[in-house]
Amino acid sequence: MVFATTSLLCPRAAQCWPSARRRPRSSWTSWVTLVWDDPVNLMSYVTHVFMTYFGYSKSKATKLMLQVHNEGKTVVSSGSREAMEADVNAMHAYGLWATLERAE
Amino acid sequence: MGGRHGRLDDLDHSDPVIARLFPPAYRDDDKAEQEFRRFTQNAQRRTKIEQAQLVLDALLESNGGREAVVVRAIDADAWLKTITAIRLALSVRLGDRTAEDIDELERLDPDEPRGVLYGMYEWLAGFLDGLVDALH
Repeated sequence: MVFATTSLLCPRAAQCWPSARRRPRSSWTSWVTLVWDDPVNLMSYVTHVFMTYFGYSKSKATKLMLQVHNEGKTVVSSGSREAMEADVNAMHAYGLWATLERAE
Repeated sequence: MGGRHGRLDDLDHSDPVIARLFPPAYRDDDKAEQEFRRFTQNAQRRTKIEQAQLVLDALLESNGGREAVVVRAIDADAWLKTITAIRLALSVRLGDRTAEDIDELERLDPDEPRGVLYGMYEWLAGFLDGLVDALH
């Protein structure tokens, strides 16, 4: 149910992530994607990535970017484990460092 | 990095540039990390190669810089990601980890090899910033 909801709201999560990778129901509990600060990437670029990939407004993307910058990391998305793996993969493709973990 | 016919050699994750370009997805779960890597790494590599090729082709079309390099909006993603990957690789080679490192890098002689690299690194930052700006 969580995964289906995520797929409807966030088309990116439904892209090509095969259901063949069966996982126990526990993977449907909430997971989060964290983006970590790094000394290389520009603030403008990180903001651009958050706007472009997640579809966040400039204001929200900037807020998240500043959280990464000031606090060292921030949660950028949440959902099923599979959806978070897709987000992490996308962040890595942009050159950002992201990880996924179970939500607290 | 990859043969013309698509066979990719294993990546050496002990190389810090590789480690930065293909960082871990899981901090505490080696098994999950291996599975994630097995599933995503080759596609990531192929995409990176395609994107880099697109940038190279555009540079080659500039006739040795005699003509303007054309960055098409439709190719923006490839440019952003390729330039970012170059900057990440440079940062590793330059040892840019902290604000203190930047101070040291700023003081380098711009004609010495490391200074040249740092100059490129900074110039590419400016280029990237300009490209992001042009997109919004």
